[in-house]
Amino acid sequence: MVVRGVRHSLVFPADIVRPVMADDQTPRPAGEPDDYPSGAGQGWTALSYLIGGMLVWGFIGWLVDQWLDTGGVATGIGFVLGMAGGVILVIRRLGTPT
Amino acid sequence: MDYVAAVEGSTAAIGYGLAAIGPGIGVGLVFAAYIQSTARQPESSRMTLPYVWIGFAVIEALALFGIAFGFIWAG
Amino acid sequence: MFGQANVLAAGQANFPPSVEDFYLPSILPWGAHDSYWITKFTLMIWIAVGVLIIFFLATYRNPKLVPTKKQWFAESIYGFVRNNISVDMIGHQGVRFAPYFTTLFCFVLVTNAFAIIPLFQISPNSHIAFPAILAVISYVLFNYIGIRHHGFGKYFKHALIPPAPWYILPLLIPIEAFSTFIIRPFSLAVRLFANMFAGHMLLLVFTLGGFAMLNANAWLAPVSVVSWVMTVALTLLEALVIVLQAYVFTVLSASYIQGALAEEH
Repeated sequence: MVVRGVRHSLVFPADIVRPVMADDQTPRPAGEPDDYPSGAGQGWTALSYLIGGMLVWGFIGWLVDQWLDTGGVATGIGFVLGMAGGVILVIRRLGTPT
Repeated sequence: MDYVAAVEGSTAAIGYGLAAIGPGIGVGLVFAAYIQSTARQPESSRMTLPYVWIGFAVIEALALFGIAFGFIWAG
Repeated sequence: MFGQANVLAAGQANFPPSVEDFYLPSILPWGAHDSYWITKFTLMIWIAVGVLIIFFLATYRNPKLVPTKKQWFAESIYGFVRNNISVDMIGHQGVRFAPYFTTLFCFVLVTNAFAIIPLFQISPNSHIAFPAILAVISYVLFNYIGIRHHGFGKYFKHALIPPAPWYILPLLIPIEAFSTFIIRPFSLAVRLFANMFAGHMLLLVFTLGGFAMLNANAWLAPVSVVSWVMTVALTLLEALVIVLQAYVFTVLSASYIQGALAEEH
Protein backbone atom coordinates (compact mmCIF):
# COMPACT_ATOMS: atom_id res chain seq x y z
CA MET A 1 0.00 0.00 0.00
CA VAL A 2 1.39 3.39 -0.94
CA VAL A 3 0.55 6.41 1.19
CA ARG A 4 1.64 9.75 -0.20
CA GLY A 5 4.37 8.13 -2.17
CA VAL A 6 5.71 6.06 0.73
CA ARG A 7 5.25 2.32 0.72
CA HIS A 8 3.64 1.02 3.96
CA SER A 9 3.24 -2.56 5.00
CA LEU A 10 -0.33 -3.70 5.59
CA VAL A 11 0.76 -5.65 8.62
CA PHE A 12 0.75 -3.27 11.55
CA PRO A 13 2.94 -4.20 14.55
CA ALA A 14 -0.11 -4.21 16.81
CA ASP A 15 -1.59 -7.10 14.84
CA ILE A 16 1.19 -9.34 15.98
CA VAL A 17 -0.31 -9.10 19.46
CA ARG A 18 -2.65 -12.01 20.03
CA PRO A 19 -6.30 -11.12 19.39
CA VAL A 20 -8.33 -10.53 22.51
CA MET A 21 -11.74 -11.83 21.41
CA ALA A 22 -12.54 -15.16 22.95
CA ASP A 23 -13.69 -16.73 19.72
CA ASP A 24 -10.70 -15.57 17.74
CA GLN A 25 -8.17 -17.18 19.99
CA THR A 26 -6.05 -19.96 18.63
CA PRO A 27 -5.45 -21.78 21.89
CA ARG A 28 -1.88 -22.59 22.71
CA PRO A 29 -1.42 -26.32 22.23
CA ALA A 30 -0.64 -27.96 25.52
CA GLY A 31 2.41 -30.10 25.12
CA GLU A 32 4.86 -28.09 23.08
CA PRO A 33 8.39 -29.06 23.98
CA ASP A 34 9.88 -26.61 26.50
CA ASP A 35 6.39 -25.46 27.36
CA TYR A 36 6.90 -23.98 30.78
CA PRO A 37 4.56 -21.78 32.86
CA SER A 38 4.57 -18.18 31.76
CA GLY A 39 4.84 -14.94 33.62
CA ALA A 40 4.02 -15.20 37.28
CA GLY A 41 4.53 -18.94 37.29
CA GLN A 42 8.09 -18.59 36.04
CA GLY A 43 8.93 -15.99 38.62
CA TRP A 44 7.76 -18.09 41.52
CA THR A 45 9.45 -21.17 40.01
CA ALA A 46 12.78 -19.34 39.79
CA LEU A 47 12.51 -18.13 43.37
CA SER A 48 11.49 -21.56 44.64
CA TYR A 49 14.45 -23.23 42.89
CA LEU A 50 16.86 -20.77 44.49
CA ILE A 51 15.43 -20.92 47.99
CA GLY A 52 14.63 -24.63 47.77
CA GLY A 53 18.11 -25.48 46.60
CA MET A 54 19.64 -23.60 49.49
CA LEU A 55 17.28 -25.15 52.02
CA VAL A 56 17.58 -28.74 50.82
CA TRP A 57 21.35 -28.87 50.53
CA GLY A 58 21.83 -26.65 53.57
CA PHE A 59 19.76 -29.14 55.53
CA ILE A 60 21.72 -32.08 54.16
CA GLY A 61 24.92 -30.20 54.98
CA TRP A 62 23.64 -29.60 58.51
CA LEU A 63 22.88 -33.33 58.91
CA VAL A 64 26.43 -34.12 57.76
CA ASP A 65 27.60 -31.53 60.27
CA GLN A 66 25.81 -33.26 63.14
CA TRP A 67 27.09 -36.62 62.00
CA LEU A 68 30.74 -35.68 61.47
CA ASP A 69 30.83 -32.81 64.02
CA THR A 70 32.65 -30.41 61.71
CA GLY A 71 31.24 -27.29 63.36
CA GLY A 72 29.39 -25.42 60.60
CA VAL A 73 31.66 -26.00 57.61
CA ALA A 74 29.46 -28.68 56.08
CA THR A 75 26.38 -26.50 56.43
CA GLY A 76 28.13 -23.66 54.63
CA ILE A 77 29.29 -25.95 51.84
CA GLY A 78 25.75 -27.31 51.60
CA PHE A 79 24.32 -23.80 51.23
CA VAL A 80 26.77 -22.89 48.49
CA LEU A 81 26.26 -26.17 46.62
CA GLY A 82 22.52 -25.86 46.94
CA MET A 83 22.57 -22.34 45.60
CA ALA A 84 24.72 -23.45 42.68
CA GLY A 85 22.25 -26.24 42.00
CA GLY A 86 19.35 -23.82 42.15
CA VAL A 87 21.00 -21.44 39.70
CA ILE A 88 21.79 -24.34 37.33
CA LEU A 89 18.16 -25.45 37.50
CA VAL A 90 16.86 -21.98 36.72
CA ILE A 91 19.21 -21.65 33.78
CA ARG A 92 18.33 -25.09 32.42
CA ARG A 93 14.56 -24.97 32.96
CA LEU A 94 13.77 -21.32 32.42
CA GLY A 95 16.79 -20.00 30.56
CA THR A 96 16.61 -21.90 27.34
CA PRO A 97 14.90 -19.77 24.73
CA THR A 98 12.01 -21.36 22.86
CA MET B 1 39.41 -1.77 80.00
CA ASP B 2 37.13 1.27 79.94
CA TYR B 3 35.04 1.78 76.86
CA VAL B 4 34.37 5.32 75.73
CA ALA B 5 31.55 4.35 73.40
CA ALA B 6 29.94 1.08 72.45
CA VAL B 7 27.39 -0.17 70.02
CA GLU B 8 25.22 -3.07 71.03
CA GLY B 9 23.31 -5.40 68.85
CA SER B 10 23.84 -7.76 66.03
CA THR B 11 26.50 -7.02 63.44
CA ALA B 12 25.00 -9.80 61.34
CA ALA B 13 21.95 -7.62 60.88
CA ILE B 14 24.11 -4.69 59.75
CA GLY B 15 25.99 -7.05 57.45
CA TYR B 16 22.84 -8.36 55.83
CA GLY B 17 21.49 -4.86 55.37
CA LEU B 18 24.63 -3.82 53.55
CA ALA B 19 24.66 -7.05 51.54
CA ALA B 20 21.15 -6.46 50.26
CA ILE B 21 22.05 -3.20 48.51
CA GLY B 22 23.93 -4.75 45.59
CA PRO B 23 21.45 -7.43 44.56
CA GLY B 24 18.60 -4.96 44.99
CA ILE B 25 20.13 -2.64 42.43
CA GLY B 26 21.13 -5.58 40.23
CA VAL B 27 17.68 -7.13 39.99
CA GLY B 28 16.24 -3.69 39.38
CA LEU B 29 18.60 -3.24 36.45
CA VAL B 30 17.66 -6.61 34.95
CA PHE B 31 13.95 -5.96 35.02
CA ALA B 32 14.41 -2.36 33.88
CA ALA B 33 16.29 -3.65 30.84
CA TYR B 34 13.55 -6.17 30.11
CA ILE B 35 10.80 -3.58 30.37
CA GLN B 36 12.72 -1.15 28.15
CA SER B 37 13.46 -3.75 25.51
CA THR B 38 9.83 -4.89 25.50
CA ALA B 39 8.72 -1.28 25.16
CA ARG B 40 10.97 -0.73 22.18
CA GLN B 41 10.09 -3.99 20.44
CA PRO B 42 7.16 -5.93 21.92
CA GLU B 43 7.63 -8.99 19.73
CA SER B 44 10.97 -9.66 21.35
CA SER B 45 9.50 -10.06 24.84
CA ARG B 46 9.05 -13.80 24.61
CA MET B 47 12.58 -14.25 23.32
CA THR B 48 14.28 -12.20 26.01
CA LEU B 49 12.27 -13.57 28.95
CA PRO B 50 14.57 -16.59 29.55
CA TYR B 51 17.50 -14.24 30.00
CA VAL B 52 15.56 -12.30 32.60
CA TRP B 53 15.32 -15.43 34.71
CA ILE B 54 18.98 -16.31 34.29
CA GLY B 55 20.03 -12.84 35.37
CA PHE B 56 17.55 -12.81 38.24
CA ALA B 57 18.71 -16.19 39.53
CA VAL B 58 22.41 -15.41 39.50
CA ILE B 59 21.95 -12.03 41.18
CA GLU B 60 19.43 -13.22 43.72
CA ALA B 61 21.82 -16.01 44.69
CA LEU B 62 24.02 -13.44 46.38
CA ALA B 63 21.13 -11.85 48.22
CA LEU B 64 20.02 -15.25 49.51
CA PHE B 65 23.58 -16.04 50.55
CA GLY B 66 23.44 -12.83 52.55
CA ILE B 67 20.44 -13.88 54.55
CA ALA B 68 21.64 -17.46 55.02
CA PHE B 69 25.11 -16.55 56.22
CA GLY B 70 23.61 -13.83 58.35
CA PHE B 71 22.11 -16.58 60.46
CA ILE B 72 25.15 -18.84 60.31
CA TRP B 73 27.62 -16.16 61.35
CA ALA B 74 25.40 -14.52 63.93
CA GLY B 75 26.71 -16.68 66.75
CA MET C 1 -16.74 -7.78 66.72
CA PHE C 2 -18.80 -6.53 69.62
CA GLY C 3 -16.12 -7.27 72.18
CA GLN C 4 -13.69 -4.75 70.76
CA ALA C 5 -16.33 -2.08 70.29
CA ASN C 6 -17.37 -2.38 73.93
CA VAL C 7 -13.78 -2.16 75.08
CA LEU C 8 -13.25 0.95 72.96
CA ALA C 9 -16.42 2.51 74.34
CA ALA C 10 -15.14 1.90 77.85
CA GLY C 11 -12.15 4.10 77.05
CA GLN C 12 -9.44 1.51 76.54
CA ALA C 13 -7.94 0.17 73.35
CA ASN C 14 -6.01 -3.08 73.46
CA PHE C 15 -3.06 -1.72 71.56
CA PRO C 16 -0.90 -3.10 70.00
CA PRO C 17 -3.03 -5.77 68.31
CA SER C 18 -1.70 -9.30 68.50
CA VAL C 19 -2.43 -12.73 67.12
CA GLU C 20 -5.00 -13.14 69.91
CA ASP C 21 -7.20 -10.65 68.09
CA PHE C 22 -7.60 -13.18 65.30
CA TYR C 23 -9.29 -15.69 67.59
CA LEU C 24 -12.94 -14.75 67.62
CA PRO C 25 -15.37 -15.64 70.42
CA SER C 26 -17.27 -18.84 70.10
CA ILE C 27 -20.92 -18.59 68.99
CA LEU C 28 -22.10 -22.09 69.81
CA PRO C 29 -21.84 -22.55 72.79
CA TRP C 30 -22.10 -18.84 73.36
CA GLY C 31 -19.01 -17.30 74.93
CA ALA C 32 -17.31 -20.56 75.84
CA HIS C 33 -13.57 -20.37 76.35
CA ASP C 34 -11.21 -22.31 74.10
CA SER C 35 -14.04 -23.61 71.97
CA TYR C 36 -13.50 -22.63 68.35
CA TRP C 37 -15.88 -24.93 66.51
CA ILE C 38 -18.63 -22.47 65.63
CA THR C 39 -17.35 -18.91 65.43
CA LYS C 40 -17.91 -16.02 63.07
CA PHE C 41 -15.53 -17.76 60.65
CA THR C 42 -17.87 -20.73 60.38
CA LEU C 43 -20.77 -18.42 59.58
CA MET C 44 -18.66 -16.60 56.99
CA ILE C 45 -17.72 -19.79 55.19
CA TRP C 46 -21.34 -20.93 55.13
CA ILE C 47 -22.45 -17.55 53.84
CA ALA C 48 -19.75 -17.61 51.14
CA VAL C 49 -20.79 -21.07 49.97
CA GLY C 50 -24.46 -20.12 50.08
CA VAL C 51 -23.94 -16.89 48.17
CA LEU C 52 -21.98 -18.63 45.41
CA ILE C 53 -24.45 -21.48 45.00
CA ILE C 54 -27.48 -19.21 45.00
CA PHE C 55 -25.85 -16.69 42.67
CA PHE C 56 -24.90 -19.14 39.97
CA LEU C 57 -28.15 -21.09 40.27
CA ALA C 58 -30.36 -18.02 40.13
CA THR C 59 -28.57 -16.35 37.24
CA TYR C 60 -28.74 -19.52 35.16
CA ARG C 61 -32.32 -20.44 35.95
CA ASN C 62 -33.65 -19.70 32.46
CA PRO C 63 -30.66 -19.03 30.26
CA LYS C 64 -31.46 -17.07 27.14
CA LEU C 65 -29.44 -16.65 23.99
CA VAL C 66 -29.44 -12.88 24.47
CA PRO C 67 -28.43 -12.77 28.12
CA THR C 68 -30.22 -10.82 30.79
CA LYS C 69 -28.11 -8.58 33.01
CA LYS C 70 -27.65 -11.16 35.77
CA GLN C 71 -26.87 -13.91 33.28
CA TRP C 72 -24.38 -11.63 31.55
CA PHE C 73 -22.63 -10.95 34.84
CA ALA C 74 -22.29 -14.63 35.69
CA GLU C 75 -21.15 -15.37 32.16
CA SER C 76 -18.56 -12.61 32.37
CA ILE C 77 -17.05 -14.10 35.50
CA TYR C 78 -16.95 -17.57 33.98
CA GLY C 79 -15.68 -16.19 30.67
CA PHE C 80 -12.90 -14.25 32.34
CA VAL C 81 -11.66 -17.30 34.25
CA ARG C 82 -12.08 -19.61 31.28
CA ASN C 83 -10.39 -17.37 28.70
CA ASN C 84 -7.77 -15.51 30.67
CA ILE C 85 -6.80 -18.26 33.09
CA SER C 86 -7.73 -21.72 31.83
CA VAL C 87 -7.23 -21.42 28.10
CA ASP C 88 -4.38 -18.94 28.41
CA MET C 89 -2.35 -21.20 30.69
CA ILE C 90 -3.35 -24.71 29.69
CA GLY C 91 -4.50 -24.34 26.11
CA HIS C 92 -7.44 -26.11 24.55
CA GLN C 93 -7.73 -28.66 27.34
CA GLY C 94 -8.18 -25.80 29.77
CA VAL C 95 -11.91 -25.70 29.19
CA ARG C 96 -12.17 -28.98 31.14
CA PHE C 97 -10.79 -27.27 34.24
CA ALA C 98 -12.66 -24.00 33.89
CA PRO C 99 -15.48 -24.94 36.33
CA TYR C 100 -12.97 -25.82 39.06
CA PHE C 101 -11.01 -22.62 38.50
CA THR C 102 -14.15 -20.49 38.47
CA THR C 103 -15.28 -22.01 41.75
CA LEU C 104 -11.83 -21.58 43.25
CA PHE C 105 -11.51 -17.99 42.09
CA CYS C 106 -14.98 -16.97 43.26
CA PHE C 107 -14.67 -18.73 46.60
CA VAL C 108 -11.29 -17.17 47.38
CA LEU C 109 -12.59 -13.79 46.21
CA VAL C 110 -15.70 -13.91 48.41
CA THR C 111 -13.87 -15.16 51.50
CA ASN C 112 -11.12 -12.58 50.98
CA ALA C 113 -13.71 -9.86 50.52
CA PHE C 114 -15.05 -10.46 54.02
CA ALA C 115 -11.95 -8.62 55.23
CA ILE C 116 -13.35 -5.24 54.20
CA ILE C 117 -17.12 -5.80 54.39
CA PRO C 118 -18.65 -4.08 57.44
CA LEU C 119 -19.79 -6.32 60.30
CA PHE C 120 -17.46 -9.12 59.12
CA GLN C 121 -14.19 -7.23 58.78
CA ILE C 122 -11.96 -10.30 58.92
CA SER C 123 -11.27 -12.89 56.29
CA PRO C 124 -11.41 -16.61 57.11
CA ASN C 125 -8.25 -16.90 55.02
CA SER C 126 -6.34 -15.15 57.79
CA HIS C 127 -6.33 -18.51 59.54
CA ILE C 128 -3.90 -20.87 57.83
CA ALA C 129 -6.42 -23.74 57.79
CA PHE C 130 -8.59 -22.44 54.96
CA PRO C 131 -5.83 -21.59 52.45
CA ALA C 132 -4.12 -24.83 53.43
CA ILE C 133 -7.13 -26.93 52.40
CA LEU C 134 -7.50 -25.04 49.13
CA ALA C 135 -3.80 -25.54 48.41
CA VAL C 136 -4.06 -29.26 49.21
CA ILE C 137 -6.96 -29.59 46.76
CA SER C 138 -4.97 -27.94 43.98
CA TYR C 139 -1.91 -30.03 44.88
CA VAL C 140 -3.76 -33.33 44.76
CA LEU C 141 -5.44 -32.24 41.53
CA PHE C 142 -2.32 -31.37 39.59
CA ASN C 143 -0.50 -34.50 40.71
CA TYR C 144 -3.49 -36.69 39.89
CA ILE C 145 -3.86 -35.11 36.45
CA GLY C 146 -0.15 -35.61 35.79
CA ILE C 147 -0.16 -39.23 36.89
CA ARG C 148 -3.27 -39.98 34.90
CA HIS C 149 -1.85 -38.33 31.77
CA HIS C 150 1.67 -39.72 31.85
CA GLY C 151 1.49 -42.84 33.95
CA PHE C 152 2.92 -43.06 37.45
CA GLY C 153 6.63 -43.62 36.74
CA LYS C 154 6.87 -41.39 33.71
CA TYR C 155 5.19 -38.50 35.51
CA PHE C 156 7.79 -38.48 38.26
CA LYS C 157 10.58 -38.96 35.76
CA HIS C 158 9.28 -36.01 33.77
CA ALA C 159 8.77 -33.83 36.82
CA LEU C 160 11.99 -34.58 38.65
CA ILE C 161 14.67 -34.90 35.98
CA PRO C 162 15.76 -31.59 34.49
CA PRO C 163 17.63 -31.30 31.20
CA ALA C 164 21.20 -31.40 32.48
CA PRO C 165 24.27 -33.61 32.07
CA TRP C 166 24.07 -36.83 34.07
CA TYR C 167 26.84 -36.01 36.51
CA ILE C 168 25.04 -32.96 37.94
CA LEU C 169 21.68 -34.73 38.29
CA PRO C 170 22.25 -35.94 41.89
CA LEU C 171 22.68 -32.32 42.89
CA LEU C 172 19.57 -31.16 41.07
CA ILE C 173 17.00 -33.87 41.74
CA PRO C 174 16.50 -33.20 45.48
CA ILE C 175 16.06 -29.52 44.67
CA GLU C 176 13.47 -30.31 41.99
CA ALA C 177 11.59 -32.68 44.26
CA PHE C 178 11.54 -30.17 47.10
CA SER C 179 10.50 -27.34 44.81
CA THR C 180 7.71 -29.20 43.03
CA PHE C 181 6.21 -31.33 45.76
CA ILE C 182 6.78 -29.32 48.91
CA ILE C 183 7.27 -25.66 48.10
CA ARG C 184 4.37 -25.44 45.64
CA PRO C 185 1.47 -26.29 47.95
CA PHE C 186 3.18 -24.59 50.88
CA SER C 187 3.69 -21.34 49.02
CA LEU C 188 0.16 -21.37 47.60
CA ALA C 189 -1.28 -21.57 51.10
CA VAL C 190 1.16 -19.23 52.82
CA ARG C 191 0.92 -16.56 50.11
CA LEU C 192 -2.83 -16.24 50.57
CA PHE C 193 -2.66 -16.56 54.35
CA ALA C 194 0.12 -14.01 54.80
CA ASN C 195 -1.58 -11.42 52.59
CA MET C 196 -4.88 -11.69 54.45
CA PHE C 197 -3.23 -11.80 57.87
CA ALA C 198 -1.03 -8.81 57.18
CA GLY C 199 -3.87 -6.80 55.66
CA HIS C 200 -6.10 -7.34 58.66
CA MET C 201 -3.24 -6.60 61.05
CA LEU C 202 -2.51 -3.30 59.29
CA LEU C 203 -6.13 -2.21 59.53
CA LEU C 204 -6.17 -3.16 63.21
CA VAL C 205 -2.99 -1.21 63.94
CA PHE C 206 -4.22 2.01 62.39
CA THR C 207 -7.74 1.80 63.76
CA LEU C 208 -6.81 0.84 67.31
CA GLY C 209 -3.83 3.17 67.22
CA GLY C 210 -6.13 6.08 66.57
CA PHE C 211 -8.22 5.19 69.59
CA ALA C 212 -5.17 4.52 71.74
CA MET C 213 -3.72 7.92 70.96
CA LEU C 214 -7.05 9.59 71.65
CA ASN C 215 -7.36 7.86 74.99
CA ALA C 216 -3.79 8.65 75.98
CA ASN C 217 -3.92 12.39 75.37
CA ALA C 218 -6.82 14.42 74.02
CA TRP C 219 -4.46 16.82 72.21
CA LEU C 220 -3.46 13.94 69.93
CA ALA C 221 -6.86 14.04 68.26
CA PRO C 222 -5.57 15.37 64.88
CA VAL C 223 -3.00 12.55 64.76
CA SER C 224 -5.80 10.10 65.45
CA VAL C 225 -7.71 11.48 62.49
CA VAL C 226 -4.63 11.00 60.29
CA SER C 227 -4.45 7.43 61.54
CA TRP C 228 -8.05 6.82 60.57
CA VAL C 229 -7.52 8.35 57.15
CA MET C 230 -4.67 5.86 56.71
CA THR C 231 -7.15 3.13 57.61
CA VAL C 232 -9.40 4.24 54.76
CA ALA C 233 -6.49 4.30 52.32
CA LEU C 234 -5.37 0.85 53.46
CA THR C 235 -8.88 -0.49 53.00
CA LEU C 236 -8.71 0.53 49.35
CA LEU C 237 -5.30 -1.14 49.04
CA GLU C 238 -6.80 -4.21 50.72
CA ALA C 239 -9.49 -4.32 48.05
CA LEU C 240 -6.79 -4.51 45.38
CA VAL C 241 -4.91 -7.22 47.30
CA ILE C 242 -8.13 -9.23 47.68
CA VAL C 243 -8.75 -9.45 43.94
CA LEU C 244 -5.07 -9.92 43.15
CA GLN C 245 -4.58 -12.79 45.60
CA ALA C 246 -7.65 -14.62 44.31
CA TYR C 247 -6.34 -14.22 40.76
CA VAL C 248 -2.80 -15.31 41.64
CA PHE C 249 -4.03 -18.41 43.48
CA THR C 250 -6.08 -19.49 40.48
CA VAL C 251 -3.41 -18.64 37.90
CA LEU C 252 -0.75 -20.59 39.77
CA SER C 253 -3.05 -23.61 40.13
CA ALA C 254 -3.64 -23.45 36.37
CA SER C 255 0.09 -23.16 35.70
CA TYR C 256 0.82 -26.23 37.85
CA ILE C 257 -1.77 -28.23 35.94
CA GLN C 258 -0.24 -27.02 32.69
CA GLY C 259 3.16 -28.15 33.90
CA ALA C 260 1.74 -31.56 34.76
CA LEU C 261 0.20 -31.94 31.32
CA ALA C 262 3.22 -30.75 29.35
CA GLU C 263 4.95 -33.30 27.16
CA GLU C 264 8.53 -34.45 27.38
CA HIS C 265 11.32 -32.05 26.47
